[in-house]
Amino acid sequence: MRLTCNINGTQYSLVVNSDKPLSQILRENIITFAENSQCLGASCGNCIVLINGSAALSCLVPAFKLNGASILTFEGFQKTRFCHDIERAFADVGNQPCPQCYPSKTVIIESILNKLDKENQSRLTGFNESSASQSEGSAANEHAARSRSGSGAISTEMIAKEMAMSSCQCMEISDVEKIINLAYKYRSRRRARRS
Amino acid sequence: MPEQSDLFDLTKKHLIGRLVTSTVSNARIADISMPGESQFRHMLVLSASDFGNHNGIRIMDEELPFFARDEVCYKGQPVLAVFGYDSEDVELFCKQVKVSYQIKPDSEDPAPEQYGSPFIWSYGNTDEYFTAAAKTFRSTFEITPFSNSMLGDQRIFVVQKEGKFNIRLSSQWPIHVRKSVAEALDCPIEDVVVHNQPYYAPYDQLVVFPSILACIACMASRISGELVQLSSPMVSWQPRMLIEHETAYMQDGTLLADRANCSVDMGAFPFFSSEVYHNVLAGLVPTYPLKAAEVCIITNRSSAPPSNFFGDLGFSMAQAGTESHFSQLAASIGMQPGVWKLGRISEIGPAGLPLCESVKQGADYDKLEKSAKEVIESSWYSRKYAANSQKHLIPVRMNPAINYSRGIGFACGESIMGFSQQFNASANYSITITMNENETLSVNTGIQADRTMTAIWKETIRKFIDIPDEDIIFVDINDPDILDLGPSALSRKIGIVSALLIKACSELARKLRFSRLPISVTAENEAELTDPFYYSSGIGAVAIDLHIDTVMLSPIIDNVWVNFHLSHVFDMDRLLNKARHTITAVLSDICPRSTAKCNIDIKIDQDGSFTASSLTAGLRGLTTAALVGALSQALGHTIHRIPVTSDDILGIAILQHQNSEGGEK
Repeated sequence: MRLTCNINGTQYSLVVNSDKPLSQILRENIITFAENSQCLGASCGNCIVLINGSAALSCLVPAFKLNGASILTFEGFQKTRFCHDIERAFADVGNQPCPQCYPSKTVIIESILNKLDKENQSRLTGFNESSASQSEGSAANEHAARSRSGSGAISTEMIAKEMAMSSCQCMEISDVEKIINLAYKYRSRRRARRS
Repeated sequence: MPEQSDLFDLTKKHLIGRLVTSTVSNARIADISMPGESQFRHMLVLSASDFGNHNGIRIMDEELPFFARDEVCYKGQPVLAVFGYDSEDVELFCKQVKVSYQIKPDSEDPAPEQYGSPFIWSYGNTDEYFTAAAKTFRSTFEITPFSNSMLGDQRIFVVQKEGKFNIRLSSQWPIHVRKSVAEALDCPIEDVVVHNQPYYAPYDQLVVFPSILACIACMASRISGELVQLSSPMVSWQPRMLIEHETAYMQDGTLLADRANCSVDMGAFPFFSSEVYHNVLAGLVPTYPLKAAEVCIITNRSSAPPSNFFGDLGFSMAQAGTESHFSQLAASIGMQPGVWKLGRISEIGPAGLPLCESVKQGADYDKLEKSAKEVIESSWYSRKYAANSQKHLIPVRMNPAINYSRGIGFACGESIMGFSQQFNASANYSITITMNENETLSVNTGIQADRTMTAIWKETIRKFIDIPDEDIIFVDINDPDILDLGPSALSRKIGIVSALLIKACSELARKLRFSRLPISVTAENEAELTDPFYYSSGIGAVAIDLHIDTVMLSPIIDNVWVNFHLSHVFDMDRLLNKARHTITAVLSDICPRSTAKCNIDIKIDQDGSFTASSLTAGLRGLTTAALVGALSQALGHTIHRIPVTSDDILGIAILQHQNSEGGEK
């Protein structure tokens, strides 16, 4: 099949078998020295990438699901400024993933931050719409204020669920939670400065 | 040296390789049938016959083959390597290769046979004390093989340029890669250039395996003349170990003598076996005041895959077995293990025990007492241990499966680093630094340092010599002057480089005032073969508090307390991260379904001296021992075998239930 997708900001048009996993496409059809495993979903979680902003195990995603998708590997993500927010949060919390799962955990954290962002954006939009019709709305006000200040609502269960994609247990969930909140704060601050 | 992106140009058509491995252990290869040529084109298949008499790499005095020739010795042994231009074709080809085996009549999984002669070490006369002793206590501790499934793939690229093999890989022993390739392909070592990449190898999976893959890929590159890419999943097996301890002690708890026996299953192809003896010995010799000790270590050969040792050569698991034994002994005489151990340590003076000092030297035992006391106090060990023990005795069951499921464990001891003093290449060691005429400083430590280590060494040099960072050049791995000091992960030398660098730099700084450039200074370290096996000033204690999830029957680690004393810490943040990763790796290895949602409280102090000290091996051993102690208390049943799975916990719960029912009847 002909696959058209965007990988790390470059548009590709590849001829591949429709069931070829993304991990293998990244390894053989895209020129990279990057290490990623071929466990085919067994357990390792070393091949996580961002597909349209959400983390996914690339060894389990077949080519036919990727048409038109935007794929960001850790190597591509590292070049973005968003990665610096997470790295800064690692340093500030004083805990970072082990070198083995560093790429996958960083990508998962980015995925959580994206979800959080979307959630807060929709909440904010909802608030603006409702505030146009209602003059008062203390609860929504509070939510919106939280969203603006950057401390979005995120449950530990949701973090644990997302982090479970990587089987390496080198980080405590409480620390991951702190890292996510800090990274989100840095990102929001930068956005506020820019706007 | 050309840029790597120019050398390894992946945009060009290149060969991609995969290994075909055996599906059985201990069998004769009856026949190998390949798919037809009409189906697959341009495939290159390598087997043992392509290497003639050089079908293997040499590791010290032992040999590990690339491919099985007529017989397979373990499951997963490479039989063939297949190379082609399309990876999916290669995979399909590998799947269609049919290897038929003739299972040997004895059995597919024969009993391990002894490899080499037993290693016996003794201090004092144990027979005398065992005869005089009022009591003896005996225990066993078994480590069943386990592996880590998330190590990923190892990828190697080889290209020939100007008659030289350029190899791009990650290896913990790059000099061994060069030597092995030169030997297997019968070419001069200068024609093998290694481009070593940054790596992370907590399980020492990159010590030997890259050399094998490099040799196979180089052969494919020689035959085809093209860029070759070979990838294979990394494997790492903790070997089976069985440890037996028997201790003689007086009625009042005074320790007299200890006898330890240990058998280590080294798999189908044992390597580093002489170092395994020394490492295991260091773990079996207890840090408690004994008057005599006797140790016997046997290595076995079996049809298991060749073993890795997860960061050391058996020390940490032997230490875990020893600590676990003394915890059981303390419990058997009605004492809290932690408190009993603290009491015994306080009997030792700061100089240590002559018995321990003959094996491992350098630790300040006053610091061990301090560390143990601090861990016991900060974890509320005494109080928690007593409460947990009392709750177990409540007749009303608090849970149908496990009566009360909380436990706390404690372990303390020393850490060692790398190879022993007796390792062949380590008798004499020197480093040379040269201030060149262009005011650059060449440093030959004989070790290929990673980025962190280079930064540390540069910092050390700059304390003595005013020179910019970029003017300090470390001798390249492909330089003919570089020494072979063994795998970097296991090299004892890394610990003493800083001390030698200080010695050389202060001498160079003095000479710089009156001599003309270039100036070269060599600092030497001479180890006597009569020295103790190991020298390390790393010493500490660990406590773990956990409870068992009574629904999932998996241990949930609540808290970990660590207090370690080291000689000098260059980067505390990095070390704390490393310690945290070591602890979480041990917890998930020993209790595969345990959760690491715990608080890890690590305190590391230093005395500032530049003596060799390491944390990892000791921390692995002590964390394992503390975890076993905590699990034993939580389950109300002594754990004799690791790893502990949910099935084991269920088995213990059923056993306890049956016992209690039997008692009620």
